[in-house]
Amino acid sequence: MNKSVVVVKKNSFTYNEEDYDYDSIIEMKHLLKSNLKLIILEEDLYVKQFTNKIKRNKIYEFIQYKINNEFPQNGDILYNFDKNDNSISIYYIKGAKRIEKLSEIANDIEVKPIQIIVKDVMKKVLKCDDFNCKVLINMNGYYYYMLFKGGLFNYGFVKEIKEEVMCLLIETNDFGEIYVDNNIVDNLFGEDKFKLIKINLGELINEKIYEKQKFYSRKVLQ
Amino acid sequence: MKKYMKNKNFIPEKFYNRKELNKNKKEKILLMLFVIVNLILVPITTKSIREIKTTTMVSNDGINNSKSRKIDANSINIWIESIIEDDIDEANINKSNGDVTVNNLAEIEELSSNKFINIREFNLKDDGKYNLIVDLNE
Repeated sequence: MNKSVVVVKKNSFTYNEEDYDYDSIIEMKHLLKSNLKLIILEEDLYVKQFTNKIKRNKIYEFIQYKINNEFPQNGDILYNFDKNDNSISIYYIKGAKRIEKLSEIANDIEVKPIQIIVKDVMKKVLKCDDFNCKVLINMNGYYYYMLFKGGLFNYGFVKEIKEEVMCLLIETNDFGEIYVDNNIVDNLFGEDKFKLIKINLGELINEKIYEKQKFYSRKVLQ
Repeated sequence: MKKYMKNKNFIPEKFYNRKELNKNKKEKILLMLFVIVNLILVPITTKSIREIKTTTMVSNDGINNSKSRKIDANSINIWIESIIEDDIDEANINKSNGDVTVNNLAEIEELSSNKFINIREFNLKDDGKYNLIVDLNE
């Protein structure tokens, strides 16, 4: 691959399976290629939806206005937006300062929160563009819960402690079918209200992150 | 080259600004290069245009010359009336002069009486015929 993949976490980042802290960026910068792919982990992804009917040529203006007036402005926020038939979704996530530091000498960068990677993976797994599903994965000790509606990220949270995940799901009455990664043990939920669908998401996510090509077919759902 | 938009695809603002600045710099450099190339090319182009103009003028002169070489219709009529109708064996005519071959002196006399024809020279040929160098009396 002609780009360096860096996994950006809260207190450190991972490159080539080595963990570095942000103070050591200057020393290891030369190891990175000028084309960077940055994956954000351990951060909550938020989304706000707007159903205003906006002319095509006014969308960008509208988004800039909304970001400037209705979104947090602490200099550490990254934004993205999607346009559907009758709605505009604006996403935001923390981590701008860390990404800025890492991309100081880069020519090209691609920034993807893990939630967006999972969305792409689920789209492929379910073979549907406007899928609806709930997904729970565990990566590097963090639980990521995501709700997708119409093929778009709708809601989610990141927690370190599984009990906190349970509490939030019960609080929000978020029961029913849920896709869970193989590495999440069966007894995670004592509740019968959940129907767990096991899936080897971890492997698929890694393939997506490192852009590995698989030329064989295999069973994804367990 | 990858395109970036502000607040799109989670690209940090600082990186976006840096890319925009570089893009503007590149555009300026390209513009400067364009101006320099044009400055170099303008004299060459002007020279080429001048050369083309000169060539056209030369070829126009050629057209004029060819026009001047054309034989006037009046001259043709005079030659026909004065020479071809007479009993002349052979005639080579080029615009306003030529040479004619006649059989006897009587025909020479007849030609000399024609006010449109001047006889410049005459020669006796081996076969007893006379060759006259003539031109039109214009």
